[in-house]
Amino acid sequence: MKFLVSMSELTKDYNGKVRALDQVSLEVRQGEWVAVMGASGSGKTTLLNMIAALDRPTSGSLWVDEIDLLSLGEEERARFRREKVGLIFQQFHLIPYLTALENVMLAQYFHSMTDKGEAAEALRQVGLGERIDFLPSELSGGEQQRVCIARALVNGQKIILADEPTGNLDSKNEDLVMEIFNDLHQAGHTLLFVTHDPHIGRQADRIIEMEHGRIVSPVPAQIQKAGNISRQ
Amino acid sequence: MQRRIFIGSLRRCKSRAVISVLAIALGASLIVAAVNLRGSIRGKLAEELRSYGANLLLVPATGPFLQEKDLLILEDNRVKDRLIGYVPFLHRVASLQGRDTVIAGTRLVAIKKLSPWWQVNGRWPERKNEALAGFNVASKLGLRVGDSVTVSQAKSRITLSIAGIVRTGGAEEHQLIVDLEEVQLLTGLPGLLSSVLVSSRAENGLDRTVAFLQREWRGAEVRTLLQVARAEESVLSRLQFFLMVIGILVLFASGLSVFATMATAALERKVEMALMRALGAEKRQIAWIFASEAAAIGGVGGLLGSALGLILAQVIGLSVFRALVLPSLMSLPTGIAIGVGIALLSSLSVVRKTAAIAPAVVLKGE
Repeated sequence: MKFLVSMSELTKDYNGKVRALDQVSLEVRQGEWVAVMGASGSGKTTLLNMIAALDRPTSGSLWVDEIDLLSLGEEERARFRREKVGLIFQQFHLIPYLTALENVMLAQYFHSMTDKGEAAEALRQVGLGERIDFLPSELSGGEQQRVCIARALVNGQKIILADEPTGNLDSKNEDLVMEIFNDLHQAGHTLLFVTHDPHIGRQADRIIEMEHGRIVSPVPAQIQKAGNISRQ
Repeated sequence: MQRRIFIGSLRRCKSRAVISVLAIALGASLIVAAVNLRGSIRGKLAEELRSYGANLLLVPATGPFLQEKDLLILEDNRVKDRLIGYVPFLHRVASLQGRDTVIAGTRLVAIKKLSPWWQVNGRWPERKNEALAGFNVASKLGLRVGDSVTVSQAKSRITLSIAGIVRTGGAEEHQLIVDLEEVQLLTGLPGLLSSVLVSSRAENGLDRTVAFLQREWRGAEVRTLLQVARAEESVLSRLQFFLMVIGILVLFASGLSVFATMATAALERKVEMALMRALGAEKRQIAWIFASEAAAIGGVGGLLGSALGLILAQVIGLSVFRALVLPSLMSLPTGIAIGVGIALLSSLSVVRKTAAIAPAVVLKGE
């Protein structure tokens, strides 16, 4: 079995006082959809940041797509991010003075070179083909999040990491966005979500529940669904 | 994409960019004005100081007299351009109305040019038989403008008409100032001089003039009239120092203004830069975005400052020195170089800090 993400006893301390991750071991298969759940401060976002090479662990091992993230220097980590990881944020984080198309092209620009056609195609895939020249301020929350998804996909990244991707959306837009994620999953993308919402979590193949920086219940979501387990 | 980010971000912070441009333009304009005025001020100042008279005195090195024919040395092309003028003198004591008086034979046209501050009551002599009476001489002998006086020495005598009474604040007030040839004939010393006053441009190197005269005029001893010469040098060097200090202070103030503007921009765009880092931008790409914006602000500010500086130089030139200032070819490159340099220098720490931003912390909103 080939794992896209493999971590062992991963620990992250802040200032030697606060332990955000405490010897976390986790493996994520290629094409798997994993939801990470837990209360605020449980370490979910820290875990996501480690896999995205946005933060550096204190100890343990972490491999993503056969790359040892602990051995990478700062600029190598930047290269890893632009080549391997698609990031989606709760607050969208779009550049306000760039159009939807240019926001997607921004990821291409840092990756290699811009391709207007490819960027427009990525926006069409998320249903925004008619709004490529709109500024973020002219788009609804759901549309902005779909631009983020297009930006995360445009370079053919290996893994999509999303931190509360539906946290700022109403239920209608939430359904639209989740439909896109389902399509991506069906197409074989590897997805790793951080979410508070059990409804969102249950759509994943597997739910990882975290508490005080540790994984406490790596229960397959299907079992949870069958057992009607509610997590909040 | 770089162009879109650049234009988009400048458009977004138009007012802040305008303030920065104006701050740099102000600093650059003063420096450009100073650069333009520097040459003119030196020239004008030297000209003003020239009105205070000669700065070199030639006296006989051996024997009692200098040879008048040696004045040709002062017409030599190697020194002529550095000289504003010269005045030969033959000082002798003669009897004026029965009293011993110093008679100064000189070229009256030359001394009028070299001593414009002399106050003449009456008029300057226009003929050889006219003279200027020093104020003290006129007072003691009761001389008035238009009087006729007799000057005698040994068996020679001449009759002169007093054209004017002169006040100089110096030794000339105790003398009767007469045409050189008249005195030479009276005293039987044709072709001889007792001294020559020379006015040399200080900014072109007084020392070079002195060295030339010492080398070429063997019979003369060259003395520097230190008060005037040193005053010129001192005023010029003080002026340069003053301009330099003002320039540095203005640049420092402009730099602080740009730093504040860039720091505010960095703070406002923190999330934007963190996002770019999260998307895989390298530090140098982030630094380049900020540095190119700073350089553009500096360049436009410098360009504007060059134009303002040229105008300012003309205004100062006309109001202070009553002359137009010749624009320096270095104005534009100087202004732009100052603008870009100050903008980059003052935003250096901001650029470095922004490039080193921690995306995880910023994007999380901590």
